[in-house]
Amino acid sequence: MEFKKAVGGVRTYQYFEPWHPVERGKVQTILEAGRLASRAVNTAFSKAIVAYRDSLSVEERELFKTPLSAALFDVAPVVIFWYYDMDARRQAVEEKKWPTVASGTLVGIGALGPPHGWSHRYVQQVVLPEVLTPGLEAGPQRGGNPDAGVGMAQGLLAALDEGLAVCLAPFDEEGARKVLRTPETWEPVTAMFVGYPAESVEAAGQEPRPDFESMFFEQSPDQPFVRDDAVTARLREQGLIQRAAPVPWRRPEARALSRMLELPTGDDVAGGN
Amino acid sequence: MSTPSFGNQESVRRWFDSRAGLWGPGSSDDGLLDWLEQFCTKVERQPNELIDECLRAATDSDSLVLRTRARRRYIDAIAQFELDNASRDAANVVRSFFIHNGVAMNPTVLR
Repeated sequence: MEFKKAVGGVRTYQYFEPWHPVERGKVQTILEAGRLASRAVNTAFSKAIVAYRDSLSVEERELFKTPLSAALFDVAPVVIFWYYDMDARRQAVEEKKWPTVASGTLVGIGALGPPHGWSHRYVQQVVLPEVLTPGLEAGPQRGGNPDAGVGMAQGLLAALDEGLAVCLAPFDEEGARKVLRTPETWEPVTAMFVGYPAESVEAAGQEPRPDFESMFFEQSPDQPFVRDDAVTARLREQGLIQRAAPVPWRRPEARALSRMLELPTGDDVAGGN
Repeated sequence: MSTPSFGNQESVRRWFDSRAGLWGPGSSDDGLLDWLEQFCTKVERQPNELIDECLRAATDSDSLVLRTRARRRYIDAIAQFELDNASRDAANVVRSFFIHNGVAMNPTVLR
């Protein structure tokens, strides 16, 4: 799949084929993409655990559920639990763990170097004590980490590129800790539900976003980055911008899928539309 | 204790060792000491003194604390040295000396 089509194909997939396993190689591909994501000081802030629906008991699945993600745990054949490792920075700095910046690896391979002011001595005796060490004494700090999110985002795009449906939703931290036995220093990012779509690939259609110019700016926040219509048209041709939700068949599709998966439709009790 | 000769000062040896480690043994040292010596003459400092002014040893560890005002002063001095000699290369030799000794130098890109 072309990159732009993968980005344009991001959906909130809700209906998976629970009986259709995901090939292990495709799961690995998702993780490989996450592993290569950009990250500060080349530290592995991102951690993930793969769990398989059919290897979990009903009771275990219940422990993961939140009101926002309950059904997904029952229908997605694979769930990847993405975490932010709050101890990664300490390990990088105190243990100079390979291949972090603190270990000198990036200077050693020439990724960072004198043309931008970097040297081994600068890393070891200035950056480490002055930049990376302060704050460590406070211990692991919750609050998320952008690099862990970037790793997960690359994994999400890789899943789409592999022809899979994928969706992100929260999970219960304590429940997951009981089942997955994760360290106390791992903070949840979100769960990634992966499988083959039971719904059409378009799902509901490309989901609405606020106006481009209300989100992006040039030079200052009072100067919107104005879209070039020709570029927008090209991106539409290339698949980045796709048919906007809702697709015409969405309601009957959702109703049919819900019946197939024995999910509530919302109209079966109240007689709604 | 007497000051080691210019080329034998710890900061100069560290510079050459670090350069060789990064760029390989084939990297040329030709002319480097001459430019550094000219800069040192201009600012009336020995090589070790330049680095000691920019990096203060921490009292409780072997780490170094960057002195931002001293670094800024030498960034400006090197920029002036570049103008005086009409040579970016000459100034970059001096910047290289600082960088390999742990003092980050970030000159403005020319174009």
